[in-house]
Amino acid sequence: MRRITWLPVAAVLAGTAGVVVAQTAKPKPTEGKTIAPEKQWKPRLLSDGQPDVQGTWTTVYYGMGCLTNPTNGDVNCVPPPGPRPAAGTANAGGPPPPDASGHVLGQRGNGNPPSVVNVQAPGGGRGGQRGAAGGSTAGGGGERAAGGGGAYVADGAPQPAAAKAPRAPRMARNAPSRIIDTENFDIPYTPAAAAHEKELFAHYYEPVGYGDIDPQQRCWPLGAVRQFTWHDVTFEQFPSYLLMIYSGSEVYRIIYLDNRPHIGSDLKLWMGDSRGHWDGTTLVVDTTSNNAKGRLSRAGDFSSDKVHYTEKFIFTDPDHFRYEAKFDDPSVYTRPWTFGFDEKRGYFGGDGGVPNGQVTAESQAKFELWEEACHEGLIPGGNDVPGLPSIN
Amino acid sequence: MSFRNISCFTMIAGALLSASSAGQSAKPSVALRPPSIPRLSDGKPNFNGIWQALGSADADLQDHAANAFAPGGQSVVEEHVIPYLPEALKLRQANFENRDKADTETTTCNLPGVPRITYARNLPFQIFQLPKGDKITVLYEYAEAHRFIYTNGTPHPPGHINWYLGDSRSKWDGDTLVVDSVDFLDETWFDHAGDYHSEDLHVVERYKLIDADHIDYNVEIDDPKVYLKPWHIDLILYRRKEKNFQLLDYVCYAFPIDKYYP
Repeated sequence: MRRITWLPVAAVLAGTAGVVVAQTAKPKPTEGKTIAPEKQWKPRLLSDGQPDVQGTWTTVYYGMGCLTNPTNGDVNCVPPPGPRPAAGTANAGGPPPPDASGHVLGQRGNGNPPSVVNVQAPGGGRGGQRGAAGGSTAGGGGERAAGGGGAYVADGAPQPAAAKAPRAPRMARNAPSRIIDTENFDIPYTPAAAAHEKELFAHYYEPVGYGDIDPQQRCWPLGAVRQFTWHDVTFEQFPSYLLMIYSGSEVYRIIYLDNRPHIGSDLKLWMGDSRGHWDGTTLVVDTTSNNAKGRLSRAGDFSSDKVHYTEKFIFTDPDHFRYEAKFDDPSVYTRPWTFGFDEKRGYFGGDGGVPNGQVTAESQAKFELWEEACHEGLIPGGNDVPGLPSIN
Repeated sequence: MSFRNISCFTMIAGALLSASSAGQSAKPSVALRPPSIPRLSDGKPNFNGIWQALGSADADLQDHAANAFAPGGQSVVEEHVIPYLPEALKLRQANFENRDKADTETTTCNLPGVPRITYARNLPFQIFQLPKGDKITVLYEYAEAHRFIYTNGTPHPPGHINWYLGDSRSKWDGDTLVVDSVDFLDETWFDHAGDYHSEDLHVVERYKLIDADHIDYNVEIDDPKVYLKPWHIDLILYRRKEKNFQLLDYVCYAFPIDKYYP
């Protein structure tokens, strides 16, 4: 059987995260909050003085559907009009029920506060399902790479054919909004930008033009920030460089630590242009030249290509860091705001690139990030989308 | 050139000087000493830096005249022509006729396989290497692709696995990095001229610094389903030395992105 890509790395991670924490016997931080370490972490230093943060990392709350309620598919922002995906498919589900006051957590303009923690029942939800469905998930990934695109609304999850198998209904669960420093934990769009976001979201499932389709569906790079909400990232360090190499797509970032100037501001890149420095155990990265063609979520969130990020990777212990990216883009936002979430070190069992089985020191050392090609710019059946005029 | 200069010097010396002094001119000259190459603290050749191919191998590895796609070029195949099996040569010719629609590098922007990733569109790539590292990381501007070239003695994983860029394990042969790659899918071509392989492709790349700024890149290609015998590509890779030169992105579009995502 052909196996073209290795998809379920993050899936397995998500499925085994609890086990991992137990095995490593590390104190589990209160996820979703900035952690103040009880003792200052003293990392091993590399030859050029960088703290050693090499390894593979994954987001604590996996998912890029909705920023205000990150972990319940993409429908917990105010649901767009149009038909819902079939039950049991990648983006099925619905908003959680309103609370006594009538508010629905995670709705636009009502992002989940940091006090919300993952209320998912143990063993339920997406991580376990994905782990259990690992075979079909890998097959889906293979089809995506070979056929030149993902399921039209791909979530790295089983394709419709595979999804016919019975599976437990997705449970509503909530995580803190990824917007951490605005009053309503939502993005402070200007009125015109808010209307544009609403328009993009409204046509997410029923595009009326090719430009409505989330570029993520064509396997284009997600942009410097959104990429962290999706699959894993491997950090590699070299004198004057920190590399971020992502699974889930062929894409990387090079963080230059040598004080070189930014490239010209008119030269735009999918992943931006990044200059960094270490402030103790915090990596501070200044990122410009974003082409902003990648969106920030599936709910139509976006920035313009004038956006400037100041990113902080706040390492608190050998296994955790807090990511905070301050977005400054007066053409779209009424004030700067901060995109924040937590990442944890990935632990891998098994042998090499097959991360199944028990996690041991040996298995962890053997882990290899394997090719997962997804960048053809195509979706199944070619460029054309049913209901829209032919491209070719 | 240097050999010619030396023999010229020897003849002049022989003509002008006595027989006893002619012996002096036969001593190795400075020009014959191999140029010094950068090395890491572990003594291995230091490949760190940004490299780029020139020439038109991406258009056609073999002799070809200029056309609308690319300039003309001389064959970079050491055997001059690729030793196809007779039936395979027919398929190669069919590929050539159909190349504008069937080359997945140019039509659908798939990863172009190995060794084509090295010279695809002649885009730069950056090598990251540490002393005593367990692998060498190569980042390519083409489609933001990467390769991990393991140097830690690990074998290929149990296969077969269908990957665009294969699985790469390497060892050192003196100062030459020898990279052994298998586990390829059969969709990629070596160039825009339809030169192809099956999933049995076995690639052995040899990277050798010939001085601080040039790599001799020699590739042995073997695939008994397609070729009569192994054959070789030989290219020079050039170091990019411009101040603050860096990789940008070449996210290849199989879709008219500018029209729909202005």
